[in-house]
Amino acid sequence: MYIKQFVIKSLLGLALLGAVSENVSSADWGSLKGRFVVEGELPQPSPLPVSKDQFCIDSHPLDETIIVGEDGGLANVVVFIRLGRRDKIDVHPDYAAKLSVPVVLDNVACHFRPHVTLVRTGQPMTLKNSDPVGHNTNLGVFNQIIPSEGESQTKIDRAAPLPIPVSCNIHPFMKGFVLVQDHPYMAASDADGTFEIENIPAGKRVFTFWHEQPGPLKDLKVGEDTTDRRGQAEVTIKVGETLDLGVITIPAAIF
Amino acid sequence: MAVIRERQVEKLARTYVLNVYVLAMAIHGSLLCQELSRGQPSDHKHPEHALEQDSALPISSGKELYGLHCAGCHGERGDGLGIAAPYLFPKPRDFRAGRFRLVSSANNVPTRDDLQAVLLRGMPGSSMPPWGQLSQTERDALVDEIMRFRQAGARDTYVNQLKEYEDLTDEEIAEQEVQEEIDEYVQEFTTPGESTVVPKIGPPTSESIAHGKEVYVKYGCISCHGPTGRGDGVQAMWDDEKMPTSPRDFALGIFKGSPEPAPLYRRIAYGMPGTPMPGSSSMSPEQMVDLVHYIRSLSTEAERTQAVLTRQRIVSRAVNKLADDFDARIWSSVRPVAVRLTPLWWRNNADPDLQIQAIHDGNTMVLRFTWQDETLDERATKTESFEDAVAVELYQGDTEPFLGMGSLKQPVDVWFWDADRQTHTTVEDQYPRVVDDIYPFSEERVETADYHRPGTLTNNQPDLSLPALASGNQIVPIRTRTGGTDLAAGGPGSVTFHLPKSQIVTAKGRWRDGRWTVVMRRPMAVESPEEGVSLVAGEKVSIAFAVWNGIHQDRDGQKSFSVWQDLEIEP
Repeated sequence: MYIKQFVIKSLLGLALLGAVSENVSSADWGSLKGRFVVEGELPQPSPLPVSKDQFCIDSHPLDETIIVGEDGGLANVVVFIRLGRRDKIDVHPDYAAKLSVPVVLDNVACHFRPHVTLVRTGQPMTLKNSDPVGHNTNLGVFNQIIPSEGESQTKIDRAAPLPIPVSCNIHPFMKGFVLVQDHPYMAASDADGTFEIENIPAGKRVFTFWHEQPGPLKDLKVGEDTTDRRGQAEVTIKVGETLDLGVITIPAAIF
Repeated sequence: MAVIRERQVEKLARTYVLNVYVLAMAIHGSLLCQELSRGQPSDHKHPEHALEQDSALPISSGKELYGLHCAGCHGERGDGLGIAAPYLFPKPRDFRAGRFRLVSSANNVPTRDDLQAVLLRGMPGSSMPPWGQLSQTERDALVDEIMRFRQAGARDTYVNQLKEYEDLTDEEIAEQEVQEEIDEYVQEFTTPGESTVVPKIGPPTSESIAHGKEVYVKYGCISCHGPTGRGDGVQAMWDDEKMPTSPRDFALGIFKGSPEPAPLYRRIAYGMPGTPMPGSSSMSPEQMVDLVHYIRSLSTEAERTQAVLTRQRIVSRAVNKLADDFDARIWSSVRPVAVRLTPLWWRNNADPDLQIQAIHDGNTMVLRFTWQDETLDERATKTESFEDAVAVELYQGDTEPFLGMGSLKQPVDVWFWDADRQTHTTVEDQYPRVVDDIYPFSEERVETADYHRPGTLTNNQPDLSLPALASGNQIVPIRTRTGGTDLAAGGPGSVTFHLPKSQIVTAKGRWRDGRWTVVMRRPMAVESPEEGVSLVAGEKVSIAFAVWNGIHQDRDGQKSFSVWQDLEIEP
């Protein structure tokens, strides 16, 4: 069993190398979709203990760490192509145009919106505040004050291997995440637990599966493969096809 | 009872030493004694010898300077984990991790000038003292050293990332190509970025201050710094190291970085990396200028200046007739020198307003201290009580040692007065109805509690039953003592009592109307280096001060301290 796995992984590795070198000239695309469903019971988002700032108290912010839909769909699972540090990947013309479109990270009723922000290196980012109170948006690499109904522009030049926590020091209960990648192939599952990434260059691709509570999602059955300790699994994207991973089951016990 | 007594002794011990562990004390102490006898010739009275010894310490390289002055707090590796670090709050900066608070560039990397400014001014609001006594060249060398630490730290970060996420082996990391990639990363994170142009900031007007206050409210400064700027706006906050932190109270005039308009403008623009204080790129330059005016309007120039630790000249007046009464007439003719103190464990308004006067008659030096202390804390007998105290640190030589209790190569002389020693309260005084009836080493063992039977009071017990007393441990208060104690130290955690024959400091204190007055005296000449620094009329020694405030549970390293000052002894 071990040997078989080893051989498969080695072959996959070789195939990956091939795929990477091919990618530069590849112009054939496919898509990936799936749905995350929690197996077992998880508590509903609970109110956060907020004692200061009347606006935030009245907004009754919720702890959005785990959001499970009515039929078990898990929101905010992050899926993205994992590139080795020297790997390049083709970018579909549709995405190339979107690089200059700002990604908006808003503060709404003392929540970060979206809860998980996906942004490409060099892509403009608009930090917004739709609340009547001041917020600050702290990503560690930068920390900006965002006045009430104001905004601030920024961009991030270096990708990070995993989503970075984002916080507001004025309201320490606020929590969100930002994923920065050198490519556009990333998604966060919606309230229903579904995600889709379009126009991926065909070939064998390594994807990372991540959720803020457990972190990288390991031992997850993803298509033919199972995620490793880093939440990574290999998926083959075929030309002109959308690969549907179907329901990806996540046991409640890991939360 | 035995337990209580041991606790009392232990707590008294803690008052004197940075290091709580008696064993460590003993080790340090013996090292120190060796060093004292080896490093300093017996006729230490002659200052030439002291100078000779110092000239054997040519402090040139940044590494040596760093080891001497900085490593005690910031650690040998620059990771902020020096031996004194547990006693400090806010914590010493981890240079490897970066997160320098005071930056003038948009990418959070400090310029050389940013670091130089910190060395020159220190960081009010923390225990980082200014280093103005070092030369520009020496400070430059220290800046190099700090930058080296940061580069090493950035390298570590990237190498760890390569190992963690890319599975690179040490061999692969050693390859030239990878090394170049690492260098690129280090370069990116240690090179200061663009710096904004600070507009010309004119004098404040009532309009600019009023407008600044509007900006203060609109941009949410008010959320943390509070409606009146007193730092009372928000719930608990933490810095990036998960240490608690609080927004500045602008009314105190305490600014971590320079409160001058231009640096303050940059701090508003860039925030303070590693802290909750955000940058304000969405403000217009005009708004930031007005905000600068508003913030500065909350404190006075005098308060801002006072917050910086400075070096004063204290002259010991030569007099014909000494007096050591608290209110002797002589004191009214000697100008008191005010020395600013700052707490090692930060709290607002901790400066006790220490005033120092000094006189001598050629044979004896008398120092008089007064300082503000609203509460009288003269007993440290109870586990939960702590005492008021004052200490003097003395050093003679050209190159001053580490402020925090000297170093092995450059030990310091410490004169100490503490209220508990003066009142010599015993456990029996504090707990008159407590009986020590099962003390294991007592010759007269008493099995049942029975007040006032022989053997039930520590006073009635033979010395043998009180090992600390029997062994001559001077931490144990003895009724015949004065409130003064002679100590020596050769680095943090090494404070050691002089032997009884070398206890030559006498001191007494009086608390009245919320102020302590303490008078210390000591013969100027010393018989041997074990007795401390020799004081010679016409010469100068380095002197520093510390004050403990019992109500705030100050003890050992938890105290307020001054930087080195000059004590000039009039001929």
